[in-house]
Amino acid sequence: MNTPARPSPATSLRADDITMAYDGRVIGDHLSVGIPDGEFTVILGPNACGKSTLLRSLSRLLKPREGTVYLDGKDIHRMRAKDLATRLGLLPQSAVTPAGIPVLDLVRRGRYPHQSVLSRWSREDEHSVRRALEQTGITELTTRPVDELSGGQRQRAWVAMALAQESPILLLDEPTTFLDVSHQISLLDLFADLNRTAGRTIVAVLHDINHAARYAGHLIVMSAGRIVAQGPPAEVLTTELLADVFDIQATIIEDPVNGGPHIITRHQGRHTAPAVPHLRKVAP
Amino acid sequence: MSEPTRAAIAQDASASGTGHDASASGTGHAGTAPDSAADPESSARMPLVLAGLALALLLCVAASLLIGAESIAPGRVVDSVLGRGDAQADALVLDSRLPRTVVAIAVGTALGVAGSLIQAFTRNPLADPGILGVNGGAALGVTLALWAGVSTSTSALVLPALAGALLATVALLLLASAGKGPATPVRMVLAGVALAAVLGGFTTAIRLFDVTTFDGYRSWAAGSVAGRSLTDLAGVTGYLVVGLLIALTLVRPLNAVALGEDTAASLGVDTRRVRLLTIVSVALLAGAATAIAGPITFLGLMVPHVCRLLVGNDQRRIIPLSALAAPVVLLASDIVARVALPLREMPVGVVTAFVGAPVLIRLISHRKVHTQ
Amino acid sequence: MTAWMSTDQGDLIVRAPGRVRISARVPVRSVAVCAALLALTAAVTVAALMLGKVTYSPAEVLRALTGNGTRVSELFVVRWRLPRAVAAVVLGAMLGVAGALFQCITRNPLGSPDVIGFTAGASAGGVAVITFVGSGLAAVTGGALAGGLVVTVLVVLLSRGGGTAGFRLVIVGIGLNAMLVALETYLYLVADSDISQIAAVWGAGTLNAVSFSHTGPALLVGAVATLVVCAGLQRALPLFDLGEDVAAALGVRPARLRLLLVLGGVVLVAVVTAAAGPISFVALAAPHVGRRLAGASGTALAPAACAGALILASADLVAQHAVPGVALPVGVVTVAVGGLYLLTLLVRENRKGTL
Repeated sequence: MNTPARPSPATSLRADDITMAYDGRVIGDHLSVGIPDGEFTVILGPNACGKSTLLRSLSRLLKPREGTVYLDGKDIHRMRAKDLATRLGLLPQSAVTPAGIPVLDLVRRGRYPHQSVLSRWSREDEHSVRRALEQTGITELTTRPVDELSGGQRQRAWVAMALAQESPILLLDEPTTFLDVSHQISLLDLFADLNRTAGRTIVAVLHDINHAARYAGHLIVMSAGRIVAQGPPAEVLTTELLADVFDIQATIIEDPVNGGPHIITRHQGRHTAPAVPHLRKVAP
Repeated sequence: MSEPTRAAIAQDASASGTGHDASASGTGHAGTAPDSAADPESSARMPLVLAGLALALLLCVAASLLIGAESIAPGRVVDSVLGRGDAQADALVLDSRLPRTVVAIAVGTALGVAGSLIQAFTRNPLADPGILGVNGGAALGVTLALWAGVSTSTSALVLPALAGALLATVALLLLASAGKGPATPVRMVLAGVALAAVLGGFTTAIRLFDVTTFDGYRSWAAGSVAGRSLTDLAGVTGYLVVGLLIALTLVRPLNAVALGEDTAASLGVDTRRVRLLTIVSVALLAGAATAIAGPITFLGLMVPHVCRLLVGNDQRRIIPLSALAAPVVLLASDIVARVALPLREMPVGVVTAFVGAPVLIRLISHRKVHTQ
Repeated sequence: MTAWMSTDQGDLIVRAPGRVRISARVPVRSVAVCAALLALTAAVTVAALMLGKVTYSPAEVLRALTGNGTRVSELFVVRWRLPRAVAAVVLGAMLGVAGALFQCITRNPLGSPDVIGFTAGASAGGVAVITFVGSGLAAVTGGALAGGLVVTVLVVLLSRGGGTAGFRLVIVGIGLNAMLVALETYLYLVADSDISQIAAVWGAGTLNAVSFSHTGPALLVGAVATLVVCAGLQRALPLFDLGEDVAAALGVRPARLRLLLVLGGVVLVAVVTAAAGPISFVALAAPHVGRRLAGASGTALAPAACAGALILASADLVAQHAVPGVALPVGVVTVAVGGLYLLTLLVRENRKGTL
């Protein structure tokens, strides 16, 4: 499955022919991927296909065995850690919430890369924190302990921490996992908003294909450690791809909300589609 | 954001703590859930393992009578055992080596069974009466009794030891079950280590108040079977036997408890009764063993684990095998303790710690236990 | 012209005027708590200087300290009691910081050097040196340091593959701890009885034999090391508390920081152990007490240091005077008291499910 050649948009962050491995186990080899500037990019794929690993490689948490990840033309592993952090933010899944930490304290910690031994709490620090709290809508919660918030609010507090970092690029590893559907949508709306109004480049690993289709401006589809497709959702999402990558038989219709692709799953693999439930039998 | 994962992991840990996963439990309807039928290979191995262990025990007993700091010809040892030995050999064999061998067998059996009971009940492969502070409770009881001036005979010390062991066991289970959901193996071990440290601190403090009384108990404090007499053993035999009998009645219910207390209850097991009996049995066995031999750690950890490797995860096999295998390990350790130093003996507790601690480390390193 | 100072949700914010990029945020409660803890420590220290075979009034103590006392009072207060009191304060602060570092690495409120075997490692190293080499302070320090480092390497190697899981580290440490205690017993048995006696007294953790000529250098090194560690790590630790990935994303190099934490913790524990033997549970309790009082979340080094100083100074006062005629090793007092604290902590953490 090859992607059609197109005039490539500007990509500050790109991985060039990288091979990723954990403890000698290769997760994906010779991957090349570019993250278009100012776009909401979604990485999609079945479990254990290497999505999170790719995100970790892009953010320097994992050093590729071969190949290089470039940010603004520089090898990210040769940059100063703090310089990289002012350009590239990441919200990993492994975040630990210290017991009893108030929201404000958590969000303030996002300012670390902008601080120095002498300048420990500048006016910009204060402004960024306030803006991050406003953007995520949790200004009212600043004194509350993070571990006592609801799942959706807690995730917003973490997003605010990453926003306070003020990096032009923000990577998010499965930010909507464990949230109920209304919180998922409100968080995705927030990311879309940050992307549109603040012009931030957003890269998120998501599980839900329809969420990806709805929100992504650019889609990267992975399967078994390979990148099988990248491009706008309308071009990338095809019935063949869904069958190949996710092993589902699906119909793609036009999303009645925004005209993008919308997936209706029929059945998985060789199973047959479930019959229409007989509602009459349930009724008294 | 860590709440759901925590819960999932805790669930996971309690399920896999016994090495059985959901697919195995699906077959068990009748209360004997992780059944021998599921694992014909290890059940066929059982007679072989039993025979091997019995042979090993015989060899260890023989070695224990033959080997020691004082060298004595094997022929004279045999003569002595058969009742026609000379005075010197009798003194060495009948008054010293034979009693300590018998004591080692009794103590080993007690600790092995106590270890397998506590592992089965807590569904925790890291559990051990020593690590979890039960032996420490018994030691504190004995120390308090000695300080108060109780006579130094084992039969007088066994009751304080039992009381200490019982209190420690109850405290531990309360401590570990105070939280939400089942106590994870690691949480339990931490609670036990804390308990053991506190009890040990008090024991040390009391000994320092009254150095003269406790001078003779230095080897007891490290765990030793040297110099124990059959009279000492007679003082605790009753408790050991009762503890073992209770353990036998727990074998089948504990198999059901391996699937989780809720599942066990739905299979018709009275979990409160099982809990109570387990506590009583562990306290009797560990307390009596500690009263006579001092706190010996890690024996109850490694023996059930080795048995599980040999015959699979069924308490009906693990508990009897532990009763047989633990004396082998303790006797072998005791023989090492006799000859490791040129001039004097080493407490056997030192040897079991050296052999057993790596087992603990191996268990945690090989993902047999879920961390987090 | 803008204000130099302002307040923001309980923090005092200080900024240089104009374009000078100097600014700081001072957590008022934390500073106040540290000051209060230090004041209490000073009071306990004065009490330690007053009490003993000959009891002096605070005024007499002050005169002796300033060089205006009688010869006898100077002998008692300055030559005999002061070194011990100072040692308790400095060593306590070191233990508090070391405990905070270890708990930060293991992400576990129970991951103190006592529970996970580092104290036992340093202790076994010290006993080995006393047994085979001699009881000079330099040699014992070397032994304790070597013992601590060997255990560190072993724990790190054996618990590798657990990712950032501090739990595996804790269990491996418990196993090693047991082996090291057994090793120590073995060493006592191997040694001549008089050497074994020296080693046993040292092995219980005591400040009884402390003098300036003997432990002065260790105290100085320790105090400087503590300050360096606190100053160097204080800014990065709050990020480390958020998880290694988050810390990395914010511009900290987690692997390097973890190494620094381990090294800092081991050096502090080893110096304390060499100077006074293994003193348990101060490193466990001090960070909690400090953190709770200061209302901080995550690692808080300064409150931990102040709480450690207060705990050890008080424990030593109790050890000296609780039982008339018996000078208990301070280690026994800290085990008994700290152990109880640990149990209450376990119950509480357990109830919250944060263990």
